[in-house]
Amino acid sequence: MISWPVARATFRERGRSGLALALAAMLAVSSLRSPPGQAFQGFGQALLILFTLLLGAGLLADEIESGHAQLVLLRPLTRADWYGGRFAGAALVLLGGLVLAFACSAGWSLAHGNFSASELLVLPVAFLWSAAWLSVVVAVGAAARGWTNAGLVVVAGIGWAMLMGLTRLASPELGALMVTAGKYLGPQQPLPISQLEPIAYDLLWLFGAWLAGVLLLNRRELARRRT
Amino acid sequence: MTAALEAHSITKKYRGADGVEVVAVDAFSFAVAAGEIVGLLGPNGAGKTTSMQLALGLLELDSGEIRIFGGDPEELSARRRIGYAPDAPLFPKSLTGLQVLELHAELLKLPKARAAQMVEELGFSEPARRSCGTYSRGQAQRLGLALALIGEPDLVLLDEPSAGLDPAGVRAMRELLTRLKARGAAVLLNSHLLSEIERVCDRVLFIKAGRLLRTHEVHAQGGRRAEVRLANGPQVRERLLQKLPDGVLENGRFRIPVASEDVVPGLVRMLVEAGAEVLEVSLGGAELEELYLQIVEGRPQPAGEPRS
Repeated sequence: MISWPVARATFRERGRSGLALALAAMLAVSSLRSPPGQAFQGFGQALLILFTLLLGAGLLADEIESGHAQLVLLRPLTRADWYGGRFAGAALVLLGGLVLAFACSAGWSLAHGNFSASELLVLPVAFLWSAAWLSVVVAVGAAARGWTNAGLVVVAGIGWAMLMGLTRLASPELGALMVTAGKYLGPQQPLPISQLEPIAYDLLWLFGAWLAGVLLLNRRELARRRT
Repeated sequence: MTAALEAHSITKKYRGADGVEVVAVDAFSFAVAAGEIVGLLGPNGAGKTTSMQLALGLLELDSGEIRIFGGDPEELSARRRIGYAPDAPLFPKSLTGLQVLELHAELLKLPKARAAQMVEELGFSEPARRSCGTYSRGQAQRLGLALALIGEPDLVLLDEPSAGLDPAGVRAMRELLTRLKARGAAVLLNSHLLSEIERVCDRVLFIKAGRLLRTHEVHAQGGRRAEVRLANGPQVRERLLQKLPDGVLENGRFRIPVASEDVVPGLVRMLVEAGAEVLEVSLGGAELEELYLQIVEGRPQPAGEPRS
């Protein structure tokens, strides 16, 4: 399922990206004045989704289009192993960024004497939510070219939001229905932690998108076309 | 004995941007045996790279069959024994050449030290410590070659391996191929350098528009050819052709297949004994080029030229 040599190489590669480091630093700085329970909501949530999109953008396509994926896939590993390794490497960078931001936030709270042990749960839950989104972006990337996978997810999100807004104007009842349905069109924000349903749902998205991504990649021809 | 690579009537079609179907490879069959170097020759777009990619399973066959070591090319055990160097490879820009090699060593379950050893063998130590994003085409080509050979494969597919290499690199490449052959590896080589193909290949497959036009056994058919420029060719024609009936005299040049360069001094002696005044002797290259022009470009064969 996961090739760890591929995951390690991906971690090195994505973790050294200047943009990713900048976003991780911004996330950490933005968490400084918030307790962990709020660090990944609002502006923090927006930064986290940007960080996730950046890590997932072209995660597969960069390798496939350069031709390096083809060389790796000629080694004794399956496409699913390679896919899992790329995803795991990017997810580890994501986790690194989250741990840093969480440490900043928890440190701030501790210094001000308002940290509670229950807030430790925020880290795995926030990671699960962002990893589920990363899984979606990577799965789209199994069929998309370049960094268009991240773009497609953003466009789909904006498109759905616009459609919901217009529908609510035209028919408030249908609009309300779309808002309810919209919750199920991607991983759900589980923070603040009040119920288990969004967590279970994010787990479903994480592994569902992973499976779909592997199936899509298995159908893809990998040879780099000469121009 | 089972061939390392067998392709049976493989076909691949593409749909172009204009919607027109293009047949890239058309019922092409070939085999490469252990200890054999087979060259693919053809114009651009002949289907050479596509054939390699089909053999490796990077493209899906429309029809036909590929067997690697007698089995399914998708078998992971077979992949352990394959090395492939693509034309103009690109590598992750943020990793060094050594890190890329270490990744492949790990995937092959080899010790990481094998990567450093490979770097030394190919004289790639300095660039290997740099990020792949700084590589010239030749350096990327060398890294691609190192990746292809790191697992000591039994089947090696090389796509334009000399492109972008400096003369020393081309020479090292030739020596490498000779070493691969000596240890019994099967090599499929796609190159436009006719002289290289002629020097190292046992067989050459001429292809055009995805179809096999002809197979040429290089060494069995006197793959090397001596060409001797004479000052008095027409005057000694009769005597020369009587003494050396395999030769052809044309435009003051006497051409004859030879087994190796060792026989050239003896050949010159015979020519001088026949009364020829020798101005210049050259070896190799010409025959394959002529064959290429005849077979692939459809140029007429010079009069009196023996067909191979």
